[in-house]
Amino acid sequence: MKKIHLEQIEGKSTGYMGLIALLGVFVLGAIGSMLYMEHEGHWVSGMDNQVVWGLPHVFAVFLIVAASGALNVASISSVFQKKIYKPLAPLSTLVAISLLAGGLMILVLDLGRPDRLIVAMTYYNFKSIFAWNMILYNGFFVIVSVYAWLMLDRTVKQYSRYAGIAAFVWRLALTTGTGAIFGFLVARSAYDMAMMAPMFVIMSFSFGLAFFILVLLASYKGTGRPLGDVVVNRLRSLLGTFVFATLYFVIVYHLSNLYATEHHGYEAFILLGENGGETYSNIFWIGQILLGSLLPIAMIYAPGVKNCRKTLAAASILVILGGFAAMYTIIIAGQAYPLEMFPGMEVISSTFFDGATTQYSASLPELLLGLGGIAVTLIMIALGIKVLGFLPATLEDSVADPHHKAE
Amino acid sequence: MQQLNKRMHNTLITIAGLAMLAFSAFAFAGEKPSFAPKVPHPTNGSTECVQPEDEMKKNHMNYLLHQRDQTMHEGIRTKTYSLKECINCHVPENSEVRFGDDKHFCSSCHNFTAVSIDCFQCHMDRPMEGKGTQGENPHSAHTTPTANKTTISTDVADTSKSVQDTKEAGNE
Amino acid sequence: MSNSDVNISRRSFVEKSATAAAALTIAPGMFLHTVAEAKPADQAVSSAVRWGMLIDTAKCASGCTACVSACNTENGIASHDRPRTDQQWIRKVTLRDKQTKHEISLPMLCQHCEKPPCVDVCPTGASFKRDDGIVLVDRHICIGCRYCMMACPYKARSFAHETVDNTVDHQPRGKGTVESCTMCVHRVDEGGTPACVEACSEAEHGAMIFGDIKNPDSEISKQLLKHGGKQIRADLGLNTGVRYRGI
Repeated sequence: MKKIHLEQIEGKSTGYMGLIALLGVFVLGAIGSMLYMEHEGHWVSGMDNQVVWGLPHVFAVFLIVAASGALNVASISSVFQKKIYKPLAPLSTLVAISLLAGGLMILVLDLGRPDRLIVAMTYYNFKSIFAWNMILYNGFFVIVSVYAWLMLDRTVKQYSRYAGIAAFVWRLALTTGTGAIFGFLVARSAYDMAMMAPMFVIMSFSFGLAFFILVLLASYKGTGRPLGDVVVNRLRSLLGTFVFATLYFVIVYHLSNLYATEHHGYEAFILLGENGGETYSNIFWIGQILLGSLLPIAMIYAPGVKNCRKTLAAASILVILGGFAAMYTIIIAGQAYPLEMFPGMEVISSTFFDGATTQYSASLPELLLGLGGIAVTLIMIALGIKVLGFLPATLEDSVADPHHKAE
Repeated sequence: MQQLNKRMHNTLITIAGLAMLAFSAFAFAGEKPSFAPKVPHPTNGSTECVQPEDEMKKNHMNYLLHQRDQTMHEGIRTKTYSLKECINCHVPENSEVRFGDDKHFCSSCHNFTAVSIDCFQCHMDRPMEGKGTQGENPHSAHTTPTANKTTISTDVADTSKSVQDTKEAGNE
Repeated sequence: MSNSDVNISRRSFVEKSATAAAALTIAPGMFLHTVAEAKPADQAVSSAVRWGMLIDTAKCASGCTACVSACNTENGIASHDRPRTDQQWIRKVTLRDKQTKHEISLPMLCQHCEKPPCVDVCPTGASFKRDDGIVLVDRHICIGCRYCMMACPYKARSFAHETVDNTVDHQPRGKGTVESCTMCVHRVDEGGTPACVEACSEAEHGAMIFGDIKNPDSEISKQLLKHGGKQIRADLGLNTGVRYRGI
């Protein structure tokens, strides 16, 4: 195996500048939306007292979960010593940090009082999993940055494995914490399940890797650097495994709920679309299951597409779309389904929508805020590979494949 | 030419900086420079605040913060350092002046020093109808059936002591 | 609807013009008892007391919203005609048993749990429980994340979705923070009774009793001992301070 050269990209082409400018417009859109929602108050959004977390949270949680998953490649290389992933490890840390930053930006800008961020940093309730998550997020930035530095700086390279192990443990904790935000909610039928935490970990593997693959393919295509099939096909089969694993967890989640009579109402709502759940049920079946799981699996394992990058890119995009559908199902549908306050009773009248399904529809500012978060992520990646050598100059099979035999 | 311009620019910035320093030293020297805003005194004849004026100028935020946490979390509802009573005493009832106007009791200084506060995003910036104390003795008006004047004066001593304690703890 | 409103207001007019002695006989024991317990203003609340409510659904009149109006007036809560985002601290709910078809009407409000999920999840500690059992939001440190609203099993909390321009000085409220029933803590600290309980009594329903559930001599404790009082979602083990009869 030849030595790997990490090299900055030039970043002066019209395409590059245009990309940055376009992303900048989306960031401005997000800031504008934030100012609008803060000035008017949240009533201008689709969120209300029934669905308190809306589309911004779908984007934010997706990006945060994907951040942890994007670190996969680095973890496999340093923790599990797989040499083929080693050249990609620095890029994987950059994508992870960027995804987390984008997600957190959305989360913070959607707060009722974003001006009080300092309060969130100085007052901690240690029984709150949300407070723990703030520590986990900040720690993730620090640990992964140190890890990236140890990999990029030749003089300290021998320590990078330890940082890699620390980052691996930390990001498992981070996704566990993010899943627990929902798993620890005792009152709602859709949540209150310890399985939420491992399910989020598996989802992170899948969503994060799909995002990483897209970044890798796009940046090598954009810079015209050589990218061999060996690396790409390894990532392809890894993605397939993760999509399967996620699907497995989703099936077990619903089977558990279907077994318990008290959760039959929610399952009828999300699986059959009963009780006003048509939209949510469609998003689950079409978005999460069909487009987000079954179709990508078919595209990854179908015969004859082994070296087809376009199919892999399309499959990755579908996994990401499916990821958004999954988050929408968990976050929005989970809240839209009414709280079971009086088992055995039906609500005849209430001024506060007791017992009624909420039909949430996102507003434009919420969508713009979410897209702005993705734009921040992409800008950070684009600038990162320009400023520092995150990207290997070549990933030809002869360079990347440890088992490559010279012909 | 360009270098000269740059030097001029730097000199100007230095002068401006020094001027601002001198200005702030003057403004907070404890004297009353004519251009500093005048704190509107209550019109009810009362000349004394709950603490000497200099102390209030310097530390009113500590008293308020201390009282805020005590009231919120412990249900201690003494009136001496409550924001509500500041307003009841210093802002005339039915006043048209709102927080943000230079004439408002709080804004008069806060605008001048450019210290932004968010108290009045929730709290009333004027007395509630029938609650203002303008024209009355500010302290006797606040006695509740259970808290008479004696308890209030001990409370003054106690709270100022604990504010002091907090400050000392903060300095460590 | 308008007819019953007229009746209620006429009734309360008659009451308000009645003598103090008459008012005391309308709510026997209750007012006298709480006044006797008023704590000095400089004394912190203590865990020797736990404030609670007992609501008798048999006495709660379907269609009567006296408690809701009283709460709104007392705390300066106004509707913006946007029911989905308007704040509600107390609401009337009518329920029907799916099997027996028996109908009941009851007010829902913050249940002031002994182990409140909203307090557990709040990242900054803005959601907290006082020593005397009243669950509050410290809006000085609330960042408006709304996680407590996700966690509350009773839908008791509202988010201030827009500028609040009619605050009263004893109940400061503002845009971007979460709020809920305070059990009229400003009244309770001065020996008073929550506005909803008072209004229910004035409307001659007497469906709500307020008092110290740790004091065996209080009216509420005696009633609880005699008739019991169920918790909504008792399965969660939260030990609510608001109890119901007839659910």
